[in-house]
Amino acid sequence: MAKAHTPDELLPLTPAVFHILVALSEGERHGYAIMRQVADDTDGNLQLGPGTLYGCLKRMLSAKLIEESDERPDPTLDDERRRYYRITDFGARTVRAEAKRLATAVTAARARRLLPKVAGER
Amino acid sequence: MSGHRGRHPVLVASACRLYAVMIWFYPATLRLEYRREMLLTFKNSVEDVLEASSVLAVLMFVVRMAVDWLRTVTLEREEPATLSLLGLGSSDGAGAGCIDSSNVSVSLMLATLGVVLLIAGWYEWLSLSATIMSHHRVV
Repeated sequence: MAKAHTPDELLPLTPAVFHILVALSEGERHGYAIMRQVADDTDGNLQLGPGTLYGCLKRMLSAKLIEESDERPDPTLDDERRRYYRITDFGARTVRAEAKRLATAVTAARARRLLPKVAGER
Repeated sequence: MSGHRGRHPVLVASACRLYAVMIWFYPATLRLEYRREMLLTFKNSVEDVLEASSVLAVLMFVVRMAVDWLRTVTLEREEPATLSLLGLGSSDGAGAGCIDSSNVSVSLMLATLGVVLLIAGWYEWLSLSATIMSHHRVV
């Protein structure tokens, strides 16, 4: 199967992939930190188990959305056995494209009064 | 992450041993590449849940892990990862949620076999316990 050349070819992302990319957009993290960040970002609505998490990471590595990092933020404070992951340029462009797509959907829902308007919005 | 690890070492070690067995049902490619990482992540999760000291939290965690295990056993593919697996790209007709039914069937068969073996082992253990108990009563 051909690899994607543009972010649009990968849209829409699954919630797990989208939130993993969002979690990695702030900097590199190891698997458990990603899991925690995703749970925090979604108010606990999306809690990834190890199988789902590493299944996603494996596919995202293959799709070049993320890459493994050789560096450790502080080797003395962390377990050297852990692998760290960081978002690639392609991954960043893809998550931006997905966020834009979702924002468009939210705008449409607001226009039809399916969602409350944000404070300050006309 | 939790700052105070290791308050329930026996429970954590037992849970990790059980999870290490459960990982054997995962697709080989995933297991071989990420076994150690998955165990580390699971261990951290167990430690955090036990820190919460809430029965409900523990139960929810057990359910979540069971669902994650079933999902991974049934939905993860053995073949090389492809973009369509992300639930993206419709170029080959593989949209979100598209599942290879043959792989799912094999995985489900293995999962069923695992459950049957588990129940058989449990039944055997109960039988053995009953035998030992009756022997003690006679003595």
